[in-house]
Amino acid sequence: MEIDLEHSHLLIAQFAERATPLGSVVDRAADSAGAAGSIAALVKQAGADVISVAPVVSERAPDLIAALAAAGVTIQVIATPEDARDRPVGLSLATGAIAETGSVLLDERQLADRAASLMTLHSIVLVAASDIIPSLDSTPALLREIAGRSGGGYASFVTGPSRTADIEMSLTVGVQGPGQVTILFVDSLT
Amino acid sequence: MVSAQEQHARSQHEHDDPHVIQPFPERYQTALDNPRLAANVTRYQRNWRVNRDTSFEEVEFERLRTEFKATKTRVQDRLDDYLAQFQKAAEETGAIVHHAGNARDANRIALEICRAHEAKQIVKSKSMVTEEIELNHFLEGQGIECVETDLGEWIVQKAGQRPSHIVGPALHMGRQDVAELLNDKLNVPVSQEDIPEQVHAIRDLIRPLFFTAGIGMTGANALIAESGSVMMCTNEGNGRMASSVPPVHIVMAGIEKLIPSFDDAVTQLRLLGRSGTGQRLTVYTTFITGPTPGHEMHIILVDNGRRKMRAMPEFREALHCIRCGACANVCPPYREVGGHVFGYIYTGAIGLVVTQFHHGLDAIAKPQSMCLSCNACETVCPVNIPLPQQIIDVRKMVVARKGLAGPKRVVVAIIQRPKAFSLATRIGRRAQLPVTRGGKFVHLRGVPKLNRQTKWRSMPALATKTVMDRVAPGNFFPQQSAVVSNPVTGKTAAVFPGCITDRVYPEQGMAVIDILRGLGMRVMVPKGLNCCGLPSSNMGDDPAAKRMAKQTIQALERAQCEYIVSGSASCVAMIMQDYIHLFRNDPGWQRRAIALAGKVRDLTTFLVHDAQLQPGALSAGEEEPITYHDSCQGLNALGLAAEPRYLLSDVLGIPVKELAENRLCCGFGGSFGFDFPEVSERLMNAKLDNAAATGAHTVVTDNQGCIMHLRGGCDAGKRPMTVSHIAELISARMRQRQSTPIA
Repeated sequence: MEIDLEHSHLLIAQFAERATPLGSVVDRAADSAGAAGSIAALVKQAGADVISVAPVVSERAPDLIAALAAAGVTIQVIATPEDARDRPVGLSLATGAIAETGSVLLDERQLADRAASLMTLHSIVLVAASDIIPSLDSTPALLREIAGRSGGGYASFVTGPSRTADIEMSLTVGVQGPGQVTILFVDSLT
Repeated sequence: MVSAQEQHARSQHEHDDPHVIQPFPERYQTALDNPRLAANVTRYQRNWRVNRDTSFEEVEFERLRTEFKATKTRVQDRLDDYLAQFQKAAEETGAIVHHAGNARDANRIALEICRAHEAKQIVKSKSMVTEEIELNHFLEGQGIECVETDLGEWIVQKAGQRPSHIVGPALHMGRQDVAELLNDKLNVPVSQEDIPEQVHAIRDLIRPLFFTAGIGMTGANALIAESGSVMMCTNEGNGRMASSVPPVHIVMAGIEKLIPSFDDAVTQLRLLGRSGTGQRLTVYTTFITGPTPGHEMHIILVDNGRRKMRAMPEFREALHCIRCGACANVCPPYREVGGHVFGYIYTGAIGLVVTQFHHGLDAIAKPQSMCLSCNACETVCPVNIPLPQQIIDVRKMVVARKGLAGPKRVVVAIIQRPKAFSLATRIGRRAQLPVTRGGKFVHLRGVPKLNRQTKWRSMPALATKTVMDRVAPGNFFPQQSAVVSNPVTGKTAAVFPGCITDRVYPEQGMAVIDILRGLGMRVMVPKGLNCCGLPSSNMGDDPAAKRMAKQTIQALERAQCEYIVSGSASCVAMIMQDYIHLFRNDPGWQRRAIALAGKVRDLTTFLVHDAQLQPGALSAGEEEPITYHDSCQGLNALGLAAEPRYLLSDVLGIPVKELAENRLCCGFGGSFGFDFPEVSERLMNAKLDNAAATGAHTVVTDNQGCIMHLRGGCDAGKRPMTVSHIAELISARMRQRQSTPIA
């Protein structure tokens, strides 16, 4: 376990090195309580008191949701895309993170899960620290598993905030996707 | 009978209809008259180059592209197997797969889906294949509104234009153009200067439509056969929105987008993001397998000429294209005129190749002539498509159908007949006297009719004595002792001067001969040499190119030397590379071309790798710096970059100051400068400005075409710059050595 954490630590450092220049903010928490504290601070920073939560987060990280609510953040679990549309902060859970590219891998077959990372203005993505992988080379197995489920799936590598350089190659963030992305690695999420 | 008035009204109507693509000469003139266009495209190309090169520093470009090309070749070899595998897997997830043989079918299938769902509005993510089949135009005719949701694509749609680039549809436009569009045409008040404000204004206009549209339509960057997945790469998030929110998702994709597996997808991604925008990955890389629960998903697989392309060996590899736009991003003429001129609906080098299969040969007959054969596109293509060769093959098809334009027909008729070429040279030498007055240039600037051709560059005078006049062709020169010890002393070399060298710059041909003799070689100029055929090939006259190639092969075979050396990088690239393709359907001549290619060397390769000249071997103390101009054939076709620099800086000891944008063509391109003098002039001036900015007073290069062009520009523009062939510098140094007694 110690060795695993050490390994994750190195990969997370590499991840941050790649993700930060693209505009992602990379943070790390020891457990659900720590993560909830960081998230509550981000919600406050956004001038909001509510967070739009992907259903998968409330299912898989109930402790974290409870801690968030205890910190005074209103929890809105997304049911339809309209629930997340242009909301200040969204909370998602990634299946993995790729150190090579500074990307998170989102497995979002359900539209409500997808909406959190897609339609909010600031997307916070939780990643279990043990789920980080070194490179794209390990992704085919993960993608195969997602695509192979009955009815298929919708997987995305998300690498930074939504952006465009269509006018004069001038970089502008926050087009149809979130303009802010925070990746929060949690050592012990559940 | 249609009255003149009606005809006029119709043409006016067509002029206003953005759907109608204007004739090429109008598009060319419009681009030239727009001062912002070239500035916008140039900025794009420069930034892209830096970002792209930086992003490839951490991966092996050559290995990746070789690997992925092999994958795409395998897919084309077993296309139907992979198609069937994809379809079966996609259907198992609940997606509905359609096959469209042509544009009409594809549009009709899309319309039927719209009708079935009573959809009146479609939100679209960027898709070149829907541009190809002109889907928006078709559906709007049926009362269905199509809204482009990619920012650049939205801008060109609202401006009544088409994308000028595969990846950056609006890169030819700037903030002023966007402000004019929003303020004046759409009545959306927005800043003239503030790009983020413009972006967010457009974003807010598009945003609600995702929630009201009945259908979302996207393209595909890849179709993954093993799982029936659609891979899509976007930066804005509009692709994820369009494929998620509306209840029906239609994917429109060409059948060439197939790849076998997720492992191949990873290789494609490593190449695509870097080649497209210099990103490791685009912000969103999405793998869609089956419909969103409760939604419907359709995948329309489009042929529309692709199987025909697959059946033609010359063009089959164009199906490997992953639509990254890199070929446009290094294209010199593209930079000056943009994609509405350099291409048809598909733009850039790949557009010149694939258009005939989707829109007919006529659509590309004129734009294809804008390729100046600099070969830059091939060096950055992430699947190594032989684009320059394919464009020449398109040109040959155009010429076979329409014939050469008058002046070119005369030139080709003369140069392919050695006696006529000699006679023309002799006549020209006499005729030029009144306008050269014994000087080095033909000055015709007083002739208004010729101004477009002559005001910006002076034509060279023909030399009074050609190389052939100065030597005894077929006979070896007396052998000299070697100036520096080297492994080729005593070996035999035939010199191929090249026809421009022979007739215009014989001193450069003599310099090559002197260098080889100075190495102690047995040197001769073969009998019966004419032109290698490059001008005929580049103009698209295939029969003439073949005839001249055969003449050259025969003459060089008769020389029976160990090496064939030329100071003309263009001729060397033609003889070593293009002959083999030229005789692809003629195995006997192809074998002879291959055997010959093994002996042919350009001068710099020969001196570095065969003669193995050592550092300092010909140095002479303090030297004034020079700058080096990489000829396109030298750099891009022959891969020469280190060789000339090693010779200049290490062997001769002359400091070389690198000129900015050294990979950019000088604008010569054979007959290109006569067809598109405005573009040729701009490229030439960019090159000479970059050269002057180094502070050097001499530009050195390895190709006579460039020398002719740049010297002509210096003369016409009164630029104090000397343009020299590398052979002249080396032979001068050898002469010094020969006259200096060895201590």
